[in-house]
Amino acid sequence: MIMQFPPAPNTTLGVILQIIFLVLFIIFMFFGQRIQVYTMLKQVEGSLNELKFMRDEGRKIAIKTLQEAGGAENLVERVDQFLEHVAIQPESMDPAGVVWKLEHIMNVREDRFLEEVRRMAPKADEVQLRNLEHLLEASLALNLIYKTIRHYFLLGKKTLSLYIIMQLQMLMPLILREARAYASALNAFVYGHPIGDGVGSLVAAKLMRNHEIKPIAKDIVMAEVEIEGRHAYIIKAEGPGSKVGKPGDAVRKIIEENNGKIAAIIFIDAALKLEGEKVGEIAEAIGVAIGGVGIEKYKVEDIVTKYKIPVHAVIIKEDVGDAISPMSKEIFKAADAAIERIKALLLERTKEGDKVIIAGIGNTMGIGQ
Amino acid sequence: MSAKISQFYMALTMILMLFSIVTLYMAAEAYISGDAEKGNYLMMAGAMGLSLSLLFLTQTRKPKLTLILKPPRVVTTIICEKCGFKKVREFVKGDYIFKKVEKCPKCNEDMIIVSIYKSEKIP
Repeated sequence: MIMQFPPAPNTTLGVILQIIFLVLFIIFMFFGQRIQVYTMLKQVEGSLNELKFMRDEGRKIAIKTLQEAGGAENLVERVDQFLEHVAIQPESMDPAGVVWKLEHIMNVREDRFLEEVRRMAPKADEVQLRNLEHLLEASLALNLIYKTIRHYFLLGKKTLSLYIIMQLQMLMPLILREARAYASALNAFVYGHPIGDGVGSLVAAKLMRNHEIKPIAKDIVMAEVEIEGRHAYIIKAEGPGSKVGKPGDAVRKIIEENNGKIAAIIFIDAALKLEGEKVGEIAEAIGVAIGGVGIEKYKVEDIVTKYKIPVHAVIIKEDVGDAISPMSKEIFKAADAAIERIKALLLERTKEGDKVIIAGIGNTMGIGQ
Repeated sequence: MSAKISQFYMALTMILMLFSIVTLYMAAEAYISGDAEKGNYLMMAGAMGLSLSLLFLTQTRKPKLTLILKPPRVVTTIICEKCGFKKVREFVKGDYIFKKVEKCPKCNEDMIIVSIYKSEKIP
């Protein structure tokens, strides 16, 4: 006998189940989308709670660290004010000169932040100040992420718009990943650990060691080193405080001092790896490897185009989490491999006696010179 | 943060799961006694309940957030450039790469920090 599945509802249990199925079918037919919306909202709410937890912990860590550095009287109030800071982007309807307008705004922002931190932690030394500034920036980023997601969550809840909620739910894993990276960066800034992003600075620090070091631009130092018979100008941000400096200004100054007679520029920087690639993998690139908002990159591109200087880059692959959390062993070891790659590049692309610029890009926290 | 959610949902989920397991057991008994029709219904109800409870369980599972904020173990390697004496210790606030630290116990020269990276254990 072939059994029917589900069998005909000729039992009490069968009738009950048939009715349940019928009711469920009707409910899903008319309220399916609404149920889907509520399910997604529930998921987003869970992630939002996680973001809130990270934001609150970031704030607590910042306040505690600032208190240890001789916190000001109204510290909590000041920190809360700081976390609400926003930089307003310059108008770009007429894009000519927008880079310089943006640079001015970023300079004012940086000076203002540093001044605020100095007021909040009057006993902190210069290195601590820079680390505290970036600790507050990480907390600010967590606050901004939380508030933006909360805005779209509440908007979605209010309008029950499937499109708003669906986009939020789909993007949430990526947003959480970034927020977790910022959360793990908090402790790195508290203790002053070297971070993954600093691998470019580490390479430059290794190359310039035991040579005369002098400041060349804002927060940037330079050393002249003979490498493989080439005269190299090595630049990096001035450590060990959390700084990235203005490498664009430094490169521009060196090129102009040499009347454009630079055979090549090699940038060393951390780059985001693609999924499947190994952390610490090294790749060569053509172009200016400087991250950030693009001001420093623009400055270098402008001057190298004027003098037709070839620009190479050695990039070290890492995850967004690796970039702002304490440096891993794989990334640390990649610095030596990057130096070998730079030497090979110099031998292949330049001649003996040529002048070259080697720029180690990235946050130099925990890395001296 | 997730304590309120987990207590309520966990209780509901556990009750549902318990009922589902009992229903599945009843289905097995119905099959053994030869009542395949009843067995099918109970099996269907039990499977639905179990799937639903497992779905709730996976949804209420939260990552341990405190772990993200726990500082990782970071180690500092110090060497004496003259005699090659090497020392590995836990990172101390204020350490930085190429910082001159203590004197070498072998040759009394300044030792320098050559590496700082995160590590699960001190090598």
